Amino acid sequence: MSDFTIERNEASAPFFDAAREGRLLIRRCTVCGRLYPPQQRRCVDGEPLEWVPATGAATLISWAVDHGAAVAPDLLSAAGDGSVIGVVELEEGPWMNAALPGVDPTQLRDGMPMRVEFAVFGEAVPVFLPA
Amino acid sequence: MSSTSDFAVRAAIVGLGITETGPVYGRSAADFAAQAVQLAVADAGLRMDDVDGLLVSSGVSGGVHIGLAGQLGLTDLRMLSHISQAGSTAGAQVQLAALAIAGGLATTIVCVHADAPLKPKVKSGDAYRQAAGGAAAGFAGLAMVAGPRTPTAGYALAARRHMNHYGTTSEQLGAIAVGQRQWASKNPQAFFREPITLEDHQASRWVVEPLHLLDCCMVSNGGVAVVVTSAERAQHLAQPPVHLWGCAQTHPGYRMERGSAWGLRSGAAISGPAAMAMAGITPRDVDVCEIYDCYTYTVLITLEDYGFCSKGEGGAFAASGALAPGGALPTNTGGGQLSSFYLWGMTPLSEAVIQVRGQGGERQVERHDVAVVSGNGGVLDFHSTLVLGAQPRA
Repeated sequence: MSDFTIERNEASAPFFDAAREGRLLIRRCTVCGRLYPPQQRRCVDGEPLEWVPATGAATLISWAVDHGAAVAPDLLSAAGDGSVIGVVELEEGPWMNAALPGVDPTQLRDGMPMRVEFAVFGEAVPVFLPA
Repeated sequence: MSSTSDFAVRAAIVGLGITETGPVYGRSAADFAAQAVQLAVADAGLRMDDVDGLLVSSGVSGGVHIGLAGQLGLTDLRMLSHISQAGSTAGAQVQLAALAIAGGLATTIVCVHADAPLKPKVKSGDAYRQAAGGAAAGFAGLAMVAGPRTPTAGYALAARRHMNHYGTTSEQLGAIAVGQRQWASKNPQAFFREPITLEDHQASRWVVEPLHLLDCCMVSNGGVAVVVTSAERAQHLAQPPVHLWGCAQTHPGYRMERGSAWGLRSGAAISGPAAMAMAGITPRDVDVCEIYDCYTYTVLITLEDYGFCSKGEGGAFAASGALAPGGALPTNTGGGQLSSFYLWGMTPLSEAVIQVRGQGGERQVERHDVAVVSGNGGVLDFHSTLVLGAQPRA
């Protein structure tokens, strides 16, 4: 399981380039300015999106502890018996699903401030930790 | 009467076929589907020649498709389609059948769902889990890290949000599991019949916290079919007719951003009231509920959204014992997907047919004039509702 790697493709290359430098990019509509999480392909109105930086500040909406096989050992919780995943609300508004590696889930609270970090699995990916 | 909802009152469910369900090996989903259709048609007192419509649904194992008509030797069908709405499919099949019958497109439509994901060495949990490891491309790779990687993980996130917002507890979810097991103990066809306690629920292992093993449905092999025909014709067939009073679907399409109601309010909040309005009823008129229960939490949020209790009060409502035998709102009276068998929306629909007919045996509810049936798919993404009545709608 430790050999899990992410291979970039054309659509994700700018995102992973920025992530490698420790910057979180999200999507913004070039026409209406609406913001989206990174994987959004087009605005709901069909207009193209552009990459814009996010601050990396977020609040915690929900979390869960998956006790199935972890994707990678680095993603295990503090207790090591599961992987903590969450939904965070970026300061800019969009929600992201995110790994919360190494945390103690009993310390998590609704709405608590979170900050982005990056973990490398071939490519760097955003993960979130209590701020 | 001439309202746009006339189509619903012109249809009735007249046949029900349920194959053997559970860890039944060596049979394909198509084989289960064919048998379910034959059982349902025979149950209705009809012949296969009477069938002029077939709506098929396939589960995760695949293999059920429109070729089923040929396997069954059905000829000159006037309607044949594969309906694919995950857990909301069964309700959608019945809705489409009712529309087709009211519109004169067909007279006798069989709706079937079958699945065979269980193999001797494939556990329930693996049937729906994405494999970990290896390589993943682009944002699919990000999703592997970020999760959720299973339906259970998605529902766990949704349930935690409900807990955060309304104070819902794991013990309240446990009351749903315990109550449904009480019902299952009265159902000879249920897979899990041994009574469980709240302590058992709390002690069962975490699958994805905050969901314990006993919050999660099983996975089953098998098939279920129902026959839909006109309400007039239903009066002259072998079984007590189960009349369609109302139906609706809602697929909410959550925008995952600030202000989203995801996890707090589902498509049931629109679909349920719409179906009950079509039926001319309110939640007070409902005798028995058959609610899609992939997880205990799904039952809780659906009952809230349908208006059987106030929003946020679902936990207290369940903990009061209202859903269990002897409670004010008998719910999932066969044990549901948690305790009886898991064939998507056909699990609640089949039990509703049994109850409305009055054929529930030891688990039969006393009053069974009006039943509400829900279907739910994705992670609260797809929803269907049926309102069924023992009599033609007034």
